[in-house]
Formats: sequence, C-alpha cells, structure tokens
Amino acid sequence: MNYRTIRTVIYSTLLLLVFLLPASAQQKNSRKVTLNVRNGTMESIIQSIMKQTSVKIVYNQELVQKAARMDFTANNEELKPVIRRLLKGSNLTFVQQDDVMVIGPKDEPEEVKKKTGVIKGQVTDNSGKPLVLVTVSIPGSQSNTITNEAGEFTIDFSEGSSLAFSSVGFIKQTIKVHVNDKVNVQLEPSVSNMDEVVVTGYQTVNKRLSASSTFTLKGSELNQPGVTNVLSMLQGKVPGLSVVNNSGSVNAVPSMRIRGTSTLVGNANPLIVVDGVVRENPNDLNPDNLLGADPNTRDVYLLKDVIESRGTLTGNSISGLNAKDVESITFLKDASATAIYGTRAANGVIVITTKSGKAGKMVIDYGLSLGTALKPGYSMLQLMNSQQRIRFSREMYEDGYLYPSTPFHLGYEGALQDLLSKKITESQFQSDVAGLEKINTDWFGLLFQSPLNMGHHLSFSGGSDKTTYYTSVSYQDNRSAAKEDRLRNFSADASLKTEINRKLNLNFNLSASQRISNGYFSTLNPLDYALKTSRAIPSDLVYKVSAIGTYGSGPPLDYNFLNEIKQTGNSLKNTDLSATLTLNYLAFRGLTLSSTSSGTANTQYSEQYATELSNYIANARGYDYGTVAPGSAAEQASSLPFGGVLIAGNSSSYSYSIRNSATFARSLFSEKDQFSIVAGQEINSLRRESLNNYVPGYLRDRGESISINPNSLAMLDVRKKDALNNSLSMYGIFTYSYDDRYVLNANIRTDASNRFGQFVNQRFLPAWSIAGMWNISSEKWLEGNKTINYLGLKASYGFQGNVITEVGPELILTLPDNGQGVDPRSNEFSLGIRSLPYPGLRWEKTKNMNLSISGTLFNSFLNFEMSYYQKLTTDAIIRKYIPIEYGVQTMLINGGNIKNYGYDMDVNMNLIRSKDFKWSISVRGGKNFNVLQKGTVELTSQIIQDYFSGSVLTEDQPVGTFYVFSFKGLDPKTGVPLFYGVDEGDPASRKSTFIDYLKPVGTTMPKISGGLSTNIGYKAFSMGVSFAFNLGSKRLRNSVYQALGLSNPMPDLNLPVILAERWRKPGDEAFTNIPAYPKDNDPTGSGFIYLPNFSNMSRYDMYNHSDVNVVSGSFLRCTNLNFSYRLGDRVLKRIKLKGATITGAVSNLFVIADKNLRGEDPETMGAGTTALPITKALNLGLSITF
Amino acid sequence: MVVLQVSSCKKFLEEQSQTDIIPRSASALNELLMGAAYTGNNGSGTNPAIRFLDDDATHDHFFFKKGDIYYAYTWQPASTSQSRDAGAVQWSVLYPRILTCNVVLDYAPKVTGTTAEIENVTGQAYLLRAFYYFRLINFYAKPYSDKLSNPNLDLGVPLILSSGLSMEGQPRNTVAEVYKQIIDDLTKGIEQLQRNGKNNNIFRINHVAGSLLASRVYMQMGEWQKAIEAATFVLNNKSDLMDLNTWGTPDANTKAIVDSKNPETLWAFGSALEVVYQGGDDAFLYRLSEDLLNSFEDGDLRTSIYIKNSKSNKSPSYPYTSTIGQSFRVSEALLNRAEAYAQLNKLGQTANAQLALNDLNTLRKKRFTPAAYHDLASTGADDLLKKCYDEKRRELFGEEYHRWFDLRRHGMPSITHVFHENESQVLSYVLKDHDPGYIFQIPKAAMDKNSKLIGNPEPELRIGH
Repeated sequence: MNYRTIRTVIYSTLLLLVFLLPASAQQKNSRKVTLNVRNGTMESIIQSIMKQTSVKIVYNQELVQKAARMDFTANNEELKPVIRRLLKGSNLTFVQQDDVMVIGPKDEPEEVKKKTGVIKGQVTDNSGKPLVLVTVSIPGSQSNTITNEAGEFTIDFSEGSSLAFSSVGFIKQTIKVHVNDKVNVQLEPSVSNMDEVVVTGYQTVNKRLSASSTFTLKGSELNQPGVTNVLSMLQGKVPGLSVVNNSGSVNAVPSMRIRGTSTLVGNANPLIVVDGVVRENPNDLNPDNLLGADPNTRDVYLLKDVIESRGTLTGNSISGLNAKDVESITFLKDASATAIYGTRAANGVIVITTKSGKAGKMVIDYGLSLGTALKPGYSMLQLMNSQQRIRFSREMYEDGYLYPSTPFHLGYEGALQDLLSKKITESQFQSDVAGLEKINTDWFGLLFQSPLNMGHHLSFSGGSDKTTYYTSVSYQDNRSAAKEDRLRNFSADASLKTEINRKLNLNFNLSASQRISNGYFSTLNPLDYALKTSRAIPSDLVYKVSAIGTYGSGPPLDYNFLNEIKQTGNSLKNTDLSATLTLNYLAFRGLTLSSTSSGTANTQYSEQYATELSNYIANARGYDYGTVAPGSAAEQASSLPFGGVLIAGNSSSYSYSIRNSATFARSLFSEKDQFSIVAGQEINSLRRESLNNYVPGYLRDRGESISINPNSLAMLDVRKKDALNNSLSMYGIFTYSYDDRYVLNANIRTDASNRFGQFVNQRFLPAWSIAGMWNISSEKWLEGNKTINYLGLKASYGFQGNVITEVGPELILTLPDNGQGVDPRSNEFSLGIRSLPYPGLRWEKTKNMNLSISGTLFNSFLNFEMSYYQKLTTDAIIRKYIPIEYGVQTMLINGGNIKNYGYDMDVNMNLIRSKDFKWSISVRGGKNFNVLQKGTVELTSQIIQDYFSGSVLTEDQPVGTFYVFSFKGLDPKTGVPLFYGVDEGDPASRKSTFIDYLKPVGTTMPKISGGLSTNIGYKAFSMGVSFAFNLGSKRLRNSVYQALGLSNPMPDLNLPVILAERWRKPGDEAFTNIPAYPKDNDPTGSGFIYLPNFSNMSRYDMYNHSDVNVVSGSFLRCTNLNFSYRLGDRVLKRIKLKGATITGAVSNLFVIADKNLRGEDPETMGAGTTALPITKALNLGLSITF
Repeated sequence: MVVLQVSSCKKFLEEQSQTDIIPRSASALNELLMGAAYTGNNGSGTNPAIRFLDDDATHDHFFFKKGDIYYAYTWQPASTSQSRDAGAVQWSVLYPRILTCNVVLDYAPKVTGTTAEIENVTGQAYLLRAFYYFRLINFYAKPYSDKLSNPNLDLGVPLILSSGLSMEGQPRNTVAEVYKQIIDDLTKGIEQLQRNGKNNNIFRINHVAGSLLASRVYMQMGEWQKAIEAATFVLNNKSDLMDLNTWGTPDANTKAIVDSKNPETLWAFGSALEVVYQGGDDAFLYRLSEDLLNSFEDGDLRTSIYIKNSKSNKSPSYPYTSTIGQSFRVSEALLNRAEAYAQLNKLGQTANAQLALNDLNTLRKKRFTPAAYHDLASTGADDLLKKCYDEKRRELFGEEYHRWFDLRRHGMPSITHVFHENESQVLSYVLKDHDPGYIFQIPKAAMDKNSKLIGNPEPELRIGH
C-alpha cells in the first residue's frame, strides 16, 4: 500500500466524518478572500486561501495536484464563489459544512449553459447498409429519435453531450460529437445468435424481442435428397413436432402434430404459411379423413376407394415447393405465436420463408441430384415361400380341413382337385406339386424397381444496394420403389426487393409449379398384393377369384395383378401460381404503413380409369370380357356391358388476400425502452370450384371415347361444387421492451366470415395472447459473464376458440346423395339434408400456456432451449353415435375436454470448432402427454370396432387409445384361441358384452418424438448423420387370420411363416400360441362366440385384436447419412468456378424397431391401405456455384 | 382502399352457397320431401332379400354359394347371420325418412308460403310418416290382431315425432300407441291433402293413396267397418282398373304392371333396386312357389302377363330401365274391401257376403278372358274368406310386402322353404306356427346405440332337414 492510497483513505474517512458532524454547528461568518497568483498550482492557491480564512479546507491532494497551473485573482470576495471559480473547468467540486470545506472529485455534471444545435448523420451496418429504426439518444436526457429508411437521423443536441446508437441485434455504441457535426456510424452486429429473427408471417421480430415459443429451422438443415415433400424432411428435426410418414410413396404427405392433438373432429394438421401468406390445400379434403366429416352414402359405399386413391396423389399446398428454395421454416407453437392467425391456427403454424437475393455480383448456383430407391424384398418379412405354402396346403388337407366352397383352381388345391376328379394321375400330381414348390415368384421383384431419380435446380441471385433479386427453376423426376408411383415437378420462383425511394420499398414474389403425379388405381396396392399373395402362383397366371368390390357377388372372375396394373391408371396434374406484393412506406417518424397483397391460382386434373379388360370392370359387368354372346341375356342384364370407367375430376381454387397494417414504434419513457403497436386488417377470399365425374362406358382403346349404355346410367355420377369463402379480420400486436431485458407482448385477433348458416354470435370470435420475456443475461450482474453468453426466460398464455364449420343453428339443405337436383322419375326438383341445426353448440376453447428457458453457454459451445407447455381444450366437439331411431348416425356435441402437456427440448453442442475441424451434435425432441379430462362424454359405444380403431373417448386415457382382448391361451382340445373374461364362467348366464373384457393398450401416435443429428467437418470434407425416433406408440401387427368367412385360406393367399408353428394336435399348446384353423365355416362352429345383446364375433378376429398381436410402434430410423466434399480454391480457380460440392447420401439406411413386428415397417400403415413401403434410397449430388 | 373495403364489407361477408340452401319457403320443404322422404331416390337401401320371406318364393337350383337371400329365405336368427338377417336393414332405412318427415313438420310453421302450399307439404309428411311406421310395426312387432297379441302391452317401435336429436334413446312404444299415431297422422294427412294436394303428380302420396293405406291399417287392426269406409273412399275417387284382355303383348320393360303409367296406379314410389336385382347376385336362383303358381285358374290372364318363366314379370327386368319399384293400385282397395266384407260376414253380418263377391268379381272380370270368366260363389264364410285371401295373393304377389304382412295377420301359419344345399341335396327349412321368425329382430346396430331397446325373442338357429 503506497502513501497516496493511505492518504486517500484518510481523506475519505474525514469526508465521512464531516458529513456526520452535528447539524447544529453552523457557520458563524465568512471571511473575504483577496488573492493574485500567476501560474500557480491549484494546491498553492488553495493553501493561500486557507491562510486568509478560518475555514479549514480539506482536499484530495491527488486530484488537486493533477490540475493545471493557472493565474488566479480574487478581490475581497466571499470564499465560496472564489473556490467555485477556482474549481471551474476541473473535475473537482467542494462542499462546506461549518468551518470545514472539503474539495473532492465531482460526481455530478456541472450545470452550465451549453452551446446547442443539431446533429445529422447516418447509421449503417458493417457492410455499409443503412439501418432503419435505430434509436439515437442523448444519454442523460429525454431526447431521442430513430433513423429513417435511409438510416439517417437528425437530433437536437447540446454541446458536451454524447450520442448513443442502439438497435436490436447490434452492439450499442456511444460517441462524443460536437454541435453541427455530420456523423456516420457503423454498428457492429452483436454476437451469439443475435442475428436470429422469428418470422411470424405477420412480422419479422428479433429473437430477443419475441416472447413466443417458436423454433426456426434453416433451409440448409432440410437437405434430404430423395425426399420429395418438404414436410417429410421435418421428421426428428423440430422439437414438439411429431411427423409420421404413413407411406413411402413419392406423392405422400405426412401427418403432423404440433404439441399433440387438440381437436377431435377437425383437421389437426398445422396451418402452412409461405412468405406471409396462408397456403390453402389444393382441395378441401382433410388429409386425415379424406371422405370428410360427414360423407354421403354413395361416397362411403361406392366411391371410397376412388376418393382415397385420388387422395394419395392430391398432395398439399406446398407439394410444388423445392427444398432448395427454402430460406427458413419457423414453427409457431404457443398461443402467443399463433393467436395472430386467429381460429385457424389452433393446431400450430408452420411459416416458410423462401430465399431472396443478396446484394452483389450475380451468383449462379446449379444443383444436380441423382438417386435411386432400393427394392424391398422378402428377406425381413417372414412370409412363406412356395415350398412352405404348398406344405401348409398339404397339411391342411391331411388334417382334414374342408373348404366352405370350391377353392380357386390353382396351387396345391388346384392340382388336388384335378387328382380327385381323376383328370391327372397320382404321379402327375406329385410332379405338378414338385413344380409348384419351385415357382417362388418374387412379387417384390416384379412389382418394385430401383428407379433412376433426378433433380435439377438452377438459381440466379444478386443485386445492387437498392434492388436485389433471386430466381430459380427446378425440375425433379422421382419414383419410389413401387413401379407406378412417380412424381414429376417443375417449379420456378422469382423474388425482387427494391427500394423505390427513401420512404417506400417493395417486395415482389412470383412462384409457379407444375406437378404430375402417377399412382395406383383405387383397388390396387403392390405392397398389399406382394404381402398377401402366394409365391406358388406364376406371375402370368390368370386365375379366378370371387367377385368382390362394390357391385355385389357373383361367379368367380379372372384375375391377374400385372394385368390389373396394365389396364388401370391413376394420375394427377397440378398447376400452382402465386404472386405476392408487399409495400412498406415510412409515413413519418415511427410510423410505417405496410400492405401485402397476394393471389394464388391452383388447378388440378385427376384421372383414374379401368378398362373393360380389368377385373375391376369385370366385377361391374358380371362376367369376364368376351365370355358372353353379343345380345345375350347376360349382356342385357349387365350394368356395364361395354367399356370401362373413367373417373375424372377437375378442381380449381383461386384465392386472394390483402393485408394492411400500420406499425408505430417509439420510445416511451427513456431511450432504454421501446414500444410498438401494429394495427392491421386483412381480407381473405377463396373460391373453390370442382367437377368430379364417374363415367361408365369409357373406351380407352377406341380413341378414349365414351359411350354410355342405358344400363350404366345409374353408375354415372357428375358432381359440381362451387364454394366461396370470404373472411375479414382485424388484429393488433403490442410490444413493449425495456432495455432489451424485459419484453412484454400481446396479440389480439378477431375474424368474421361469410360461412353459410353460421351462428350469428360467432361471427366475431377473438383470439388473444399475452407473453413476457426476461433476458437474464442482459442484467448487469450477468453482463460480461464468460460462462453464460445468453440466458432468457419466456412465458405466454393465450386463448383461442374454434367452431367446426360444418354446423350452424340452421337446417341446411343440399342436393341429395346422388347429386341429382332433379328426381328422375317425377321430374321434380329434389333436395337432401346437409346438416341439421345445432342450436346449442358452443365453441371449442383452447387455453394455451408456455414456459421456456433458453441459453447459450461457454461461448456458444452449448445452446439449449427447453419448454413446458399446457394446452387445455374444453368443449371440444365430438361426434357421438346416437340411437338410429333419430334418423342420423351421429350428432355433434361439445363433449371433449382434452389436456395436452409436455416438454420440448432442443440442445445443440459445438463440440469442436477449430479452423479445420468442426463437430456439432444436436438433439431435438418433445414429449407429449395427452389425456381426456373430466367432463369428457364417454363414447362408450357398443361398437367394438370403435375400440379397436381407437375412436372411443375414455376419461383419463389419451385420445386415440385403442383396446384389445387379453389372450389367455389355446384350447387344449381344439386349438382355438381363448380370452380372459370371455372364456370364463358360464356364457349363457352372463349379462356383460365383449367390451367389458377389452383392455386399453396405448395409442398409435407417439408420446415422444424427436431426432438426433451430428455433423463433422474436416477441411473440405463433411459428414452428417441424422436419426429420427418416435417412442411410446403401439400398433397391431397385420392380421394373420381373416376376420370373416373363417375358411381354410384360399390357395392364392400367402401366409406368415409363423403359421407353420400353428396348433395342430393336442399338446401343441405347450409350444405355440398360434391358433389352429377352425374346422368348418359354420357360424355355429368353434370360430364364433356369442354373448348377450347378440354380440357375436369370430375368435380369430378377437385373436387379431388381442394383446398377442400388439407390438411397440417405437422406432429409431437413420433418416439420412451424407458425405460431402468441397473442391479446393486452387482447383476451382483452374476450372473457373466459385464453388463446387459433391455429395453422397443414403436415406432410410436402417430402422430399429420391435422385433415382433416381423419385418413390417413400424411407421407406414399396415396391409390393406394405400401405403407404399419406405425403402432405402441412395443419392448423389453435385452443386456448382458460378 | 380501406374505405372501399369497409363499404363493401357487408356484401363481402354475405352468406352464399351454390350448393346449399337454408329452407325458407314451403317449396324448399316440398323439394326436401322428394329428395329425402320418398323412398328410392337414392339407391334402394331396402334389403331386397325380404321379398323372399313369404310362401310365394322358392329356391330353384343349386349354386356354389349361399348369398344374402339365403339368410332371410331360411329365417335365420340375427345372432348367427352376421347382419344378413331380414331385419338388419329396414330399421336404418326407414327412420332417416321419418326424420325428414319430422323436419318438414317442424319447419312448416316457420317458412313462407300460402296455407295451401304448407298443407300440401305437411299432408305428405304426415302420410309418409304413417306409411313408414306402418312398415316398421309390421316388420318388428307382433301383429296387432293376432290371437296371442296384446297391442296395449306388446312392444312396437320407438315413436320419434320431432327432428330434435338426443343422445338418450327412447324405449319401444307399444303396438297400440304406434297404431294410434299412424291413424292420427293418416287422418291429418288425408284431410290436408284432400284440401290442398290435388295438383301433385303421381310420384307424391295423395289423399286417395292415404286412404288405401288407411284401409290396410284398419285391416291389420281388425277394424273391418273402417277398412270398408277407407277402401270405399278410394274407389269413389278412383275406380279405374286395367283390363288384361286389352293389355296386349306382355313386356315388363315397356309396359310394366308396377308402373306410374298403369291406369290403376294411385301412387308410384320406391326404387327398382328393391325389386330387381342387379346382375350377378343370387336372386336368379329363386322363383315363384308351386303353391302360388298352382293357385291360378285356367283362363287367368295374369299367368301370362304377371308371370314369365315362373318369375314375376311385373317390373322391368333391368333396374336401369325402371324408374320405380312399387305402386299403390286400385285393385288393392277392391281386395281389401272384399276381405273386410267377408270378415264381417264371418262375424255374422251375412249381408256382406255378396258385397265381398261383387268386389272380387269386379276385379276378376278384368283379369280373365271372357271365355273363362265366371262369377264367383262361396260355400261358406270361411270359403269366402279364403277366396279373398287367394285372390289378393294372386293379384299382389311380389309387390311390396303384402303377402308377408298378410301371413302375419292370418295367424302366422307354418310355412316351409326348400333350399338346394348342393347338387344332390334339397333341405327343408320350416317356419313354425307363430314362429319368432315372423317378427324381425331389432338390428344389433340399433340396440348397441340405444340401451332402452328390448330385443324380440330370438329364434333358434334354423337348420335344414
């Protein structure tokens, strides 16, 4: 401790003592001072003054000695003014108490008159781009302003002050200026994710100012070559988003849930917004339920297959979007983020931003991708080969099983029939059977392929300071492993941003796409066929099958799957065009006016056909092609004597929306806070028109002509639809932030629509939210902390209402089921009931709460965000079965209370960040608990299928819980399956039904879903692996036994290998739980059991739906593995390119799932659906920048 | 732009729909009746198999499978037929139409239109509702007048008389309550349509057809006098009979008996699909029974015009060329009145015997060649009654469910159906006297959803011998 320090301590102590002196000791008098010093030190002057007064002057010697030498005169002046004059210009001040005066360092600016004027200047970022809305303030005063569109500002200024520049996302800067200076300031962007913004579609908010729960995915993270739909690439990449890829088709659209399911009859998929504009699906089909909430009878019975197979090609609103044109995707998860979208956003919102140009020389990017999908095969599937299948048939015959009717004449059974009817000899029979055992038709090999897929993407971007542009064109031709499944897509995108003048700027975006999808005709599915068909059938064999389908039953008809595929078709062409224009106008300081107008047009033509040579048409015709004489009775009685059918549909939708908003932003109390309010108004209009035809008498080979026989008129179905949906909305957004530390945020929105027959009191339904955020790391006590770079807390709460649009207080009539407005007999107009009035129905209400914590630690080594959410939906509308006597199957009631709660998590670690070697890992996932709460109307219908399918609602169980029987074992005498409850006690005296013995096993939606990805980069090489997982779901294995008509399986069916281990003789039950086949088909036989209320059910159907067949649906899928190599600068220079990268990727490399699935995919829907398998895909990519 | 938007705001939010309508006028309700209350406009829905329940049908030859008709034809119990029993479908076909009637009746006071327009609409709704309840009660409950019946206690069907929906089911009303409602509806409907429904075309029910239905209802109730009055009302309004002597070459496809153009037709309704099968099903395995075929006398023109190849030739053979499935015909009024007279005769009012014969003869004159025609005479009250029964069977076979309903009314006698089990084996299935099979089981689907429904006694599994 040196001398000076000691002295400072003493003086300070003294100073304290002086302040503590009693107040009663007042100054008695003041002596005058007279002095004349030339070039003296301040200390000497003070000493001189001290000698002339009785006042003791104590001073800080250290400071006083620093003062410059000066001339000083005083002429009989009072002490205080003298001292004041002496200290003026220095940073010293004095205080006098009684006889002691202390001179010490100044802690307040001197109150002196200052020179005033204005300061003008411009603020730019480090690249020289003008910055708008930068707060320019004078520390210590109330005055502040913000910069205009050109980054310029003007502020009143007094000399001696400094200027502070602050803007979100930039480091605050304070500079010394002088009056009338012209200043140019460059602000440095702040580090640690400060450049991240949240695009809500209505606003672009800096992440630090958004209190909402959102997640943003960069376009580059989407890269998953071989996947055609942008949405399918999201699996495992977004916390809180569950994506289920139901099919491996290139045309498939996945089913998605953000934070669980909170509606029971509506569409639970999130809303999709592209560049600020809501994108409507190409048609009004709900992808989760293609037939609609209220299908008519004809659709359900006649056209179900047709509608579903059209649905497989329909795609969604962004099917034409190329992943390479995506800049970022933002997921809005809580009410604070979605309230601005009103009632439509109750299931979350996905906001896609497309790329825009950057100022600079034109950059040309070309991307090429070549790929293939690998054929699926029998290896994993545990299905019988020819030999096993023939052995099975032989054993069934030897065990004395009979067919209920003559089996199809093929396979072992065919040869046996020939033997028994003495058409062939025993030795011929043996050699026939030996031949059959060797056939081993590879159905997968015949129906699947390894296609060559390709994609081209070319983009141009660049611009000047004032105008930037981005243009791209792309072409993709993709097929899945299934031969007929194909998607060709051509798209073009252009965007332009320009600054017309200082106050006005303009954004224009135009995008167009054309898509051609091909798929399978309604009744055909190659996966289903390959799984179910015996391999002892040669592929070219035409065999007889029972008449099936929609036109009743009759004599068996010819069938060959390859012929069916050849004679039928399913295709769809879709054209999209959309344009958006945004204008921003800075009216005056703080007030910006914006207007966004957009229009979209979509047309879709879908066509399915089956020619007269197909089995599908033979079913309608009643006999095989060419087997009856022209003019015969059979021909005259046939409902479709000539030609096939054409199912063609045209639909178009045109929409426009105009949104105007005014944003006012300014500081309210000091330069540290900022307040902004946005008031907006929006109109949306959507017109859909469609014409769907089911035309019999289609002669495809005769110039595609159509000739409708009078017999076929009843099949003709022509339907036109025309609907106009208009809505008008008002919204408001309020944001207040203080010092970037505390942010308060509120949204409100109300909508009105022209919906037909709506409740008048529901025209204006407000949705609102309120949210707050605390940037803890901006607090003084954490500032500069080396461990915690960023730490923030968010909380939000909001309310949204929803009413399903199909119901209202009025009786609504529409055309009758067959779509004919005129009754054909009476020639009178006719109407049917579309919807009965529901006067008492209330809104579905969802209260949504979110808490999040996010942080950046160790200089961005670890970034994390964790959220807890709770969504409470009350009065959810459910469709309840009501007694048939009321004349309708179901009614809608407010009966569901659903609670969704859970966690989302996003952790990413930059493990290594050296110049040459980079390694990062990210884990994203979410857990959702979904439970039906008290007050839910139990849909304990007596319909057992509702329990199997998970459509019953039970309190304390999640939505979608399905039930199964509890398998007890096999009957030791007959080998039929027995069940707990069902096979106990005396069935005759029992009052209960099957339903009492069902037990809940889980849901098909995963509880936990997420993904893990890691990227390693070493110099020019990089490698990435991503995994997706879904955990906690359950599913049933494909059924082994037929539900009805429990017969000895027909010879065309293939069977699981496991059936070889079936019960065959008493004692087998010790080794196997695979039941024996029932000995006969009689309903009274062992296959059926009865209970009161006429419940009857096949034991084998019960077995299919019992706990032995429940397997876990959990899986871990390696969705993508890729390597890439970036060409070095020297090579590039030689070939005159700016950049070049070669990429190799494998999709769906492997999947780890429950081994009890016996090779079935854990994700795709099972047999009997339109699903195609998800197969491994290889891809090679090249990307060149000119 | 903002001002422009606000001014056009009202128009922008105007409800409009090209395909949907909120009914605000009587004519909209009238169109609704045509589209959703009359049967047959949208497919059959009706189970065609129930035409094969009665003793007019027989299985003809073996075919490799048992089609849907088998289950109704052999009167299999609901519990084993997997919803292919006779009663499985009708319940859910008729109640939605009753709903439409109820909707019309509930909305009629709220819509615009003259009293005449509104009465025309409500009158039809009342009559149709009565018709559908009449069918339901005769499918699913004991006959009203059977010796073992007690209509005040026997379970009928739930009476739903308003369009309001509820989760709570309603129990079955008694047979008597249902009949009372039918009579009430008929009375209102006939009255209103007589005043204001005369300009309707033949595809809409009218007061005369309503009276014919009333005569059927009273016949079921054993109210002979009222049945006579109702039938007489029909005949007073329309007495045209087709004369088979001048009918020309029989061709069901161009000149069908069951047809709107038949001069006897009072009301044409229903779907051809209820009567005529589309190709490929098993209806072609069935034909008219020997019992019926043998009951025709020589010279009866109906054997050549109503029948072709031992099958009914009353409707077009292809469903696609036919527009309707069923009709109310004047002949039935004569036959109902004849039987009612005969019933009174049996009760001792013998003056009625000749009246009964007169009515039968009026009809028979138009059905026989002049050479073969002779006036009928009866040998006693029972003989007269039998003659009435037989004449009705010959005249109305294959139309609606006349024979089945009459068998129930005539004491639910035992009948036998043969079935060709395979090429060589023909089995007999017996519906015993007062067999539970005479009453359809309430469908399982209905009982599942309404716990207050009590099922009918379930017959045993019927096994052929």
